[in-house]
Amino acid sequence: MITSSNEVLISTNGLTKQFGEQTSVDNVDLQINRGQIFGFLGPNGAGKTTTIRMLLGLMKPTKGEVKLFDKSFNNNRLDILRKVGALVEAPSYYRNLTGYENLKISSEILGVTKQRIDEVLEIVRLTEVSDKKVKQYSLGMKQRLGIALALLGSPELLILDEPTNGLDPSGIHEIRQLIKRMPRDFGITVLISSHNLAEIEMVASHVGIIQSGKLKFHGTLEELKGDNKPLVEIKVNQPAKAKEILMQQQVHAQIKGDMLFVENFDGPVYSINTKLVSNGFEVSHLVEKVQTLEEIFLDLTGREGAL
Amino acid sequence: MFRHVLTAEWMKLKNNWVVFPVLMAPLLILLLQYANFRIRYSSVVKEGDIPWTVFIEQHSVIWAVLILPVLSALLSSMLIMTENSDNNWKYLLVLPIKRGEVYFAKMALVVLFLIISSIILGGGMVISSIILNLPGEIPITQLLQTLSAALIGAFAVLMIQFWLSIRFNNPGIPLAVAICGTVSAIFLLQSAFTRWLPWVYPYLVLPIRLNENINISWYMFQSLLVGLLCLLAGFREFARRDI
Repeated sequence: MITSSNEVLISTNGLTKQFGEQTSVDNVDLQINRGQIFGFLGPNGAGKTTTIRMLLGLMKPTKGEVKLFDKSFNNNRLDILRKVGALVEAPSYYRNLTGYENLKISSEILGVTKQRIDEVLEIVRLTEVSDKKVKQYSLGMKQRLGIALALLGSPELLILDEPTNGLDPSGIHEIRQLIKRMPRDFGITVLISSHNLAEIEMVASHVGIIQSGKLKFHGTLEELKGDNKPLVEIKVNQPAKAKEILMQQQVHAQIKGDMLFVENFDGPVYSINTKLVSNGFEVSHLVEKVQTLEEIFLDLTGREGAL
Repeated sequence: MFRHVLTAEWMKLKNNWVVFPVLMAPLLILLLQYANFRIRYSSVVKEGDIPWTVFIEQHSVIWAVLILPVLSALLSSMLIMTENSDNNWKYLLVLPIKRGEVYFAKMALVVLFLIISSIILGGGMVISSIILNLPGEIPITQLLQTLSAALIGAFAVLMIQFWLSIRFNNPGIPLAVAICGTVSAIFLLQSAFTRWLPWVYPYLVLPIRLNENINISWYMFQSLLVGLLCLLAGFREFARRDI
């Protein structure tokens, strides 16, 4: 299982980026600890990539600060980057070269051995096509090459920006399996951004939800789910009367149409049923509804926003 | 570290066609002038001229005015294009290297290719002169001086083109500037007022008889100065840019 330590690998404080009038990232405070798989979630254009570019020192924040491994970029850029592997916005790499040659170029800079190149090719299962030119690669293969390149320097922190964008279901599955292995098998902390909730739900231990540049939620997946209590939906023959009866039990129901709704109900749902039936009501429908993550996500990010 | 970045940049050039302009540019001039001297020898070399002096002048003028500026633009563009068009800056610049190392490694390679091209031209001229049976001894010093002067004169243009290539994603922009600059240079040479334009420096630094009234060293200095300023400005912009 994932063991998350208290060592903070990424922290941002009031991180803000403005492009002219437009504020693309607005006062974002992130904290990611060692061992986490942090899912950075948000609709397209919410500021995920901009945040990641600032985390990697590709872009200077307008305001606020970024610390990786408790160091800021100003004087420690190279020290930080040596411990980070990243895949940002799916580059095409050097298309006229083979996958192997692409890795070789980076190995020259990172100072890693040929053996490590073979290892990362093995991890992303590209060994067989490593002497094909990258322009012949499928999108999925290119993404895997990107992950191989990010892993090449044996990083402690892996930052992946939309790694499954544009992949088919089997490609997505494959990348997901790969990401899940990172903390477990290699001790690598992962930040993965996505606009796809289901995907994050399947891999991440912690999530940050960003919308229009603002961080709407930051915590574990359980906290995200735990925040919401069930909604009880009741269909009964005399709703108005039933409402009064329930009121005596400190249960606040609302009538909508011919249904009764009880929000944020704490106790066991059968107690409502027992109460109603014992008072002679005819209950034809009683359902406990828990908001799905998708609904929580939509509530947080606003349903009108493009997804 | 710079050595590793340079090696990495060198490795990227495989299958990149960069050899093509490096070879073709001097070959084009050599063939043109070979034909010129073969067919029109009597009208090119006048009474009292030293054939080799004319030979060097004829090659170097076209080389300096037309070829070097365009070649500088083309090579800069070719070395930088892959990073721009395929979104590779984001990958390259999260590697633990300084942005300056990338900038200067690429530039060093462009300079190297220009020198190789010049050497091919010089060597080709010697071979061409032998085939043409050009009378007189080969003036090696004069040849080297002229070709080196052209390179120094092209320094400013190279720095401008390099900056433009790295600044704009679209390789059409630096190439358009190169073509406009080169074409206008042919006319702007004529007037003393427009001689501050970098595209005329490669010609004005040539130690040839047409430049007898021109202070060659001054234009060399001007080229180096403008070049260095552009180099610093370009590097500063690149080092601070949001990628």
